[in-house]
Amino acid sequence: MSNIHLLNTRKSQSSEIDSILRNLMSIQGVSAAAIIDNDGFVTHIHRDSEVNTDAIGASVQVVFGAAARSAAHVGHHGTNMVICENTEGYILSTPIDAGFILALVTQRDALLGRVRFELKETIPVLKKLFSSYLAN
Amino acid sequence: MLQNTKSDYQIAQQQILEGIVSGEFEIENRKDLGPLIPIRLFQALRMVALGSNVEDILGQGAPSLVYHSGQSLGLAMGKIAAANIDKDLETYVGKIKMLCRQLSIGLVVPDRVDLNAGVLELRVDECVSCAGIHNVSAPICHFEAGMVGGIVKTFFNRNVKATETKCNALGDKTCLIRVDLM
Ligand SMILES: [Zn+2]
Repeated sequence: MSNIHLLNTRKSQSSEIDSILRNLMSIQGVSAAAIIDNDGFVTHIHRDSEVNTDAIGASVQVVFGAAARSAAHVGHHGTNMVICENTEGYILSTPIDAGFILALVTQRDALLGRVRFELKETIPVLKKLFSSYLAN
Repeated sequence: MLQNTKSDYQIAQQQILEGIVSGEFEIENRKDLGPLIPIRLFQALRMVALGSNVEDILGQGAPSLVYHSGQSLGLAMGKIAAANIDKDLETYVGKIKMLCRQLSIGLVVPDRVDLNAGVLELRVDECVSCAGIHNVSAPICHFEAGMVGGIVKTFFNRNVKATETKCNALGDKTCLIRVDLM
């Protein structure tokens, strides 16, 4: 189990995270973008419609953890992204740092390659932000 | 198959919660053994079944599942305590303290209540989950943190984030849970 990481979401710096999520929401077909901490708590979210944040936060962590574990069983040790393909769209989750995960929800018409590319571009920026937050 | 039928776990959950609400501790089918169990059996369920075993399958997802489970119990306890008290925080805390003592979860003591800052800190002395456990590297009572989070969430009807900041298993002599109202 992991160490404690308190991220004060009311700090003005968190507006930087919000602007990153807003950018992700502008990609075609993306309907929600969220950051989830190691306890499954949604620390930041932008979404088009109402979402049960408690349930989605815990589920994303559980699915990511289970996928990483099953990957480890076949000798794959670095899980960089988990993609869940559903009839209605996709859920993509990517680890940031210290157990935090960035999750995107899309509709069916989203271009998976484009969303995946943007996620990969975003992660280093978030990693940098988080390492300075968590160091404080 | 019928839609919205309850799963067997949900049926059991309902009966357990109804048993808690009734305050009736006697239980059928335990004529000789009675309603109480050794604390180590509870800890095996909590730290093995809902701990290391879950961690084996879910890896970093384990704390989320445990926190979420604790929160569900906290929401149910909160509902019980919030009935007929006219939103009075002191009465609510009193009922929660009593419920936690009756269920032997621990002795709940409010340590700090700063509603302007949106922060509450509650101590859980004699915490059932980590009593007699030592030498861990980080707080391990994610279930209790979730439970306290659920209890506070029910009263304030707001999103909360609960974090265990001190843990008896770390040598802190108590478990301290900080709740941030969002
Ligand atoms: Zn503890």
